[in-house]
Amino acid sequence: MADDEMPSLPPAVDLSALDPRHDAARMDAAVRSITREALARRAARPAVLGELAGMLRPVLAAAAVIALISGPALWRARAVAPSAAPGSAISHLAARTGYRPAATEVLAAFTDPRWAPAQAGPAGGEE
Amino acid sequence: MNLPSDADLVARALREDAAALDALVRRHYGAAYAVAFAVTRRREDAEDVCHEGLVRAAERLEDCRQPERFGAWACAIVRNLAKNRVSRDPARRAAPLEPELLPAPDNAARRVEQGELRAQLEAALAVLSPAQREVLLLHDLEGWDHAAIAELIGTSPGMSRQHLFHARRRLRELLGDSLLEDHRHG
Repeated sequence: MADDEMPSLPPAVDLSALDPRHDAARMDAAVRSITREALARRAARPAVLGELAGMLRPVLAAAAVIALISGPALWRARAVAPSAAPGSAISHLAARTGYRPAATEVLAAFTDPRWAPAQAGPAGGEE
Repeated sequence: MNLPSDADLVARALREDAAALDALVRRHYGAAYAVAFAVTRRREDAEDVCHEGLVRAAERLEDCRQPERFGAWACAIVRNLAKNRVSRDPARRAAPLEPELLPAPDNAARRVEQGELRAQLEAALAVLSPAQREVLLLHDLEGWDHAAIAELIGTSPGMSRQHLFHARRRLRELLGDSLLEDHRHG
């Protein structure tokens, strides 16, 4: 398999002292240990997957039951409750009072210091 | 009798044939160890990494898309593990050992014992760059060709030849001619 083609390649050094096959008993023990462990891991793998699948099944079933029970209730709540978004609140206000504020008015209202939270200031008081 | 191919052994191992898996691991243990040792530079670490890498490869045999190239695939897993181990250990990222740390290559007669020779080779290899070690061990010990080595370490076959050239020359300088024998690939 060797394909030395460099004309001036120095001769190889005998490296056989480093060959693990030199100590046959040691290598045999190493190979047996590797094979044993690999077979054990291969055998354990389907069991682990089966166990995970077994654990997953009740969790999935419980999630399905919860979704079935809470689904209609959540749907109803979503249909009834007004949105918390400012645009939605303005629409509600406009529908009830007949007055739709301009965007600049809404912005001014949001930035008005009188509406700042009480704990925001160092004195904690309102004007 | 023809030895079964890697693809045959992988197919049998996938059917939980322990003997096939054993044969597969045995066939590629040397190369995996060479790669692990080239990266970690320590025999104990190389054995640990080699063990874990080959276990992972055998455990995930289904992921080996080219069963006829199981060896290269397993060595790539071992190599990644070895690199991770080295990168987690700052002391291991240090510069290579200085040549003066090597035992002096005089009086070869006293160094014929295998253990001592191995220690000397390990010390000399520690001076080489990781790429030089990988190429040297895979080529001169495991008999891999440059195309296969290049694919594993992510370089070109020409560069692999360069690494081999410099590795052999450096090793000869470090060990001294009195200790060296010509290898069958030389």
